[in-house]
Amino acid sequence: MVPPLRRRIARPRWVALATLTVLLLSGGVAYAYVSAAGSGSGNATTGTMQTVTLSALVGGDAPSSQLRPGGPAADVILRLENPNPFTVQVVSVDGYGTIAADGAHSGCTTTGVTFIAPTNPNITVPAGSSLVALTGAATMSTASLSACQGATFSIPVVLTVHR
Amino acid sequence: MSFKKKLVSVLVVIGVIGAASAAFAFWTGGGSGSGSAAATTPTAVTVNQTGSITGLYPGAPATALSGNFDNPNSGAVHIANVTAAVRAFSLPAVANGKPACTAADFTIGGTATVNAQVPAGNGVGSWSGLTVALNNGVANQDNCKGVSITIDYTANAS
Repeated sequence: MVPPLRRRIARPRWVALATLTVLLLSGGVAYAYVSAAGSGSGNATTGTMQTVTLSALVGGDAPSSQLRPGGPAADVILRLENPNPFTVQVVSVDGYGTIAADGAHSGCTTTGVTFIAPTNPNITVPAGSSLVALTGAATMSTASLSACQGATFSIPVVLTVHR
Repeated sequence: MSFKKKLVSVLVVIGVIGAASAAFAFWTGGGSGSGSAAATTPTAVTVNQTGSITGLYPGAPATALSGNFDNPNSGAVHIANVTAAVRAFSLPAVANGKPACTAADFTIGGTATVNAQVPAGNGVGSWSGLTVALNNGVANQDNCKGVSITIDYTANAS
């Protein structure tokens, strides 16, 4: 026969064992999980490239060198408008059409100006408006009329740009 | 004590002994059998890309990809990571003299470690860390202008 005192002690021992077991089981569960695989898809779209254009010169736009009949080649400046959100590279600048003097020099019918297309210009044009100088890209022959003195010449060009 | 009283006492004692004997008699039996419990096989989750990726251009900084999951299971599932690949394609359908734009023009970068329990439901959990970029190739990439590509995602359990 178990004395009353031993019975009172025996029950808490079981409780303690049961509690310990539950804690161990709970600890084990925390490291187990159900894993799953899966798939899906999404999209991404490339942008397009807007045309880079030339615009009128603005105040202060001036070449660093000037033409004179029979003189050395002078700079040609271009104001470029790059509407893209990224820089582009000018890989070629070719002349086309007739070079003409500004309206204030209507007598300059023979300009004698020749455009010299730069080879491998590789000019970086940032987004927005920028001024580009083509060094030594124009010459003036002695055929230029005296009415061309002080004139600014419009030189049509076509650009090829790369991104 | 009269004979009658003695007889009653003997019967009582016999009765008590009989009852005591009955107290130690019982039938025993054992048995065996089995129960069952089944572990679930989780259904595949769907990987979602959130956000709209537009305006990729050659050499542009890689654009971040991110998203979440649709978990059709009744409980949470563990996802280790998400990987991605550009689905194969070739454009234009009719050659135009320029190099075709293909999946090779794009690069998926980064890693998307999830390593987390994703609860049941749609649009749950999250992943990030992957990027997509349009390579700045040496060849003409005009055929990649305005192209929409499909990125296939895989959720990996381990």
